[in-house]
Amino acid sequence: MKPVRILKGALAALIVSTGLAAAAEYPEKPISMIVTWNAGGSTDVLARLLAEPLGAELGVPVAVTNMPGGGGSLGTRAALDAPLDGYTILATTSGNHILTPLKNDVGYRYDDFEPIGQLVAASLILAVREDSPWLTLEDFIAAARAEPGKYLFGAVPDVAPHLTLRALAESAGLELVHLPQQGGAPGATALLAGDVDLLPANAATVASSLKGGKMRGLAVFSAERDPAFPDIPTAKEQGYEVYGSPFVGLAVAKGVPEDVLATLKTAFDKVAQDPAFGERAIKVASALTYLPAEEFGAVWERDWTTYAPMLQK
Amino acid sequence: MEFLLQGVAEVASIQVFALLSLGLVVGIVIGSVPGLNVPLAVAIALPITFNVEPIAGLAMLVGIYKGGTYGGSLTAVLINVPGTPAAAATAIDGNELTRQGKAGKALKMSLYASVIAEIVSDIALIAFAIPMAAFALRIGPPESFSLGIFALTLVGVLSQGNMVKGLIAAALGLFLSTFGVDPLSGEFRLTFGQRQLAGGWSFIALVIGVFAIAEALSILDANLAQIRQKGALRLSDPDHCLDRDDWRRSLPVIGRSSVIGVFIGAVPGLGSAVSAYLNYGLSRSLSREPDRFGKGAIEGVAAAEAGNNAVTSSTFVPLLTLGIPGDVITAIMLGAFIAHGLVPGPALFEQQGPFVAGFFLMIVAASVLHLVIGRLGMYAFVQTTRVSNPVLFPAVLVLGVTGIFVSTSSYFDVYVMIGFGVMGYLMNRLGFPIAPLLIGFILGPLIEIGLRQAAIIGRGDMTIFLTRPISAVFLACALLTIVVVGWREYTDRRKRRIPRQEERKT
Repeated sequence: MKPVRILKGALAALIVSTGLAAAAEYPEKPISMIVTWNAGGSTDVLARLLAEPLGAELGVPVAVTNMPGGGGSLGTRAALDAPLDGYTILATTSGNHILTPLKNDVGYRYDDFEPIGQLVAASLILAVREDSPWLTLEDFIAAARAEPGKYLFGAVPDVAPHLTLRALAESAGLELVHLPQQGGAPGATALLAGDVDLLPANAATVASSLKGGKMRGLAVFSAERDPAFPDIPTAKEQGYEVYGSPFVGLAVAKGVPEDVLATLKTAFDKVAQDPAFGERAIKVASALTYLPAEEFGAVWERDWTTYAPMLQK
Repeated sequence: MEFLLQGVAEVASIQVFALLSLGLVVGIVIGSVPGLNVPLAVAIALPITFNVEPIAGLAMLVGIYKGGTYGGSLTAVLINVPGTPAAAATAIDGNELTRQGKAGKALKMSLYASVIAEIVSDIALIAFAIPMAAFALRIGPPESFSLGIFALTLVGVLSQGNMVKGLIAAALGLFLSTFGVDPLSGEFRLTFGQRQLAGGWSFIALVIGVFAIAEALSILDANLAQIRQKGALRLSDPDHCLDRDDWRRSLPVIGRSSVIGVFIGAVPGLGSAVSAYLNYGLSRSLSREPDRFGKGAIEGVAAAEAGNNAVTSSTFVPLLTLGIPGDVITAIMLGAFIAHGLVPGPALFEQQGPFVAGFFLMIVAASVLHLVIGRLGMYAFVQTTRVSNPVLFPAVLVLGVTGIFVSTSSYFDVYVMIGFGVMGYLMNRLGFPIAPLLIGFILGPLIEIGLRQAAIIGRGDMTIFLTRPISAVFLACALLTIVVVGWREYTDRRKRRIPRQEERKT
């Protein structure tokens, strides 16, 4: 079934590109979707999932191209340097879009891009081991205030979970020790092994441990509770207005023609809101948090201004 | 047993077996091609798995994973170009056997050792998943550091007779591993303003460079235009069959390597390459005839391949018992489990009996099918011995370049690969061994991250490496290895010196 579809797509692309469709309606040839992370990673899986229905909607194949490296900056730059014809779109994440350009001189800013739409905004959960004495955020904050510098937290350096916990520590006046981790799963292992006392993490990383009763969630750093974990209160409910939710969405370089952008937005909106696609996404990746282009752009601006003081030197 | 019987209904379908076989074939091919890697194959196969039963989808991924972990050894043995980094350990003795005209022996041993190790790993997963998870959690930063140091001392064993050059190669490997983003602070380190270097030197580019490119260069150099053989080698010839002596040497090694590999697989973040090298080095240092190694020792092939494949089932231990994926492939499988409404953790075994039992049976079936498909596939792979080098190596290079380009879409890693190729060629010419270089490169991050994290946990108190018992044991093993290797080297030199002195007297 799959090869047949690819063949069909390739044939269609061939026919179209030979100039039979001289009207030059966008799109007329395959679109490349750049993923700035490795094949098989969470962003890549989501992008590959999206590529198929998006291609069907647009009528041309959408091919995922992995361009990892440089904290996501290599692929992001490539999307910026591609011709402004809408045949190169970027599967963009908080990491390559906001955090990397803030921290390093990579030659682009968040607003060099036009948003197409947001696909996922992960919930960040502050997790502790099941045998931890802390039941609420207040318990932990009281303990950490009493003994500054005693408690360890695990997080990958300078990504959303780390920065969000830093923001919490600053607003509550806590002194915590950071044990840098190499990824979400190693962090969860460190918490379960007792190497760290608490772990700010993407909901997907700790979901099975939370549901299996190995970990307890003290707070979720979103405006609303996560529907998958209705028992975990938000940080705001507990008196600390700290937010963080890393996103995955689509973008194109600024300067792509209006009508092309509109076509992409319409196709994306349709696919992202299709319940069948949503179900598939839950199965292999995560629940969708669709946002239309305008609101997605607002998220970029919000995150950029939140993290700029923490990362820029 | 009763528990497993619940799963029969889950796996007894043609779809499961068809996808399992397909996965194994794809995995073996992808694994054998230098430059193409298993995560890439899994990512490409993923859309297929959405459209089938969850257990069949998992079967395909398991097939790719097991096949891919083994497949690297085929090209390692036949043309000294390991398809996967872990298979570089297999190449040391495996390719030597091929040069001696005993390729069949090495191929068969690598398949049988792989399958035996897999079955040991399957049994460990089914019977001891929960206690093994408890053990895995005890391997924290200090233990990783000490294990890394222990494994590093085995370089001494691997480079006996040429200790200084071996240590220089290992130091070079350690140095190369420090490029890229600092793992603890996230700052760019030794990148010289090159963003492409932020992720460090590509491991695949390094391996293909020092093996494939370097080999191609030496063929150019030696003008080796010989046509190898008219017909493919016959796998049934006595020279290509394993005899009693081979098995006597290899079985104990396979047993030990399987058990060690199973434990390494259960610890998230160590992986098959660490296991292959650790077991190869360990077998060489524990052997009564260490001089055989590197000169076509069948037990060397057995140690590396058993170590390599023993991780493939135990890597599911942290996934099933703790819900923590140890690597990219298990991370994708976690999604498939959650889709099925399964919550990994101790409760999984009680609440989701049939599905988990089915998964276990499927994994055992994968190991058995691996034996059958691997044995049949051998007939196809030995055909490469009919191809003369001037034809074969350009093809290998094309595959290598394409594979590297596909995974990063950038020419940078292709240039890096060529650069490492020149380095590998020079190292070969000057008598520097390649294996210590790769070992240093693999162990560098493990040691660095372990050391720095442990320093934070211990608040700067380095006695943490001795007060944590498992860490202390690894360090003691390291010390022992240094003493033994030092003693062997010392006596060897004396033996060499005494005859020389006698010559002078006469």
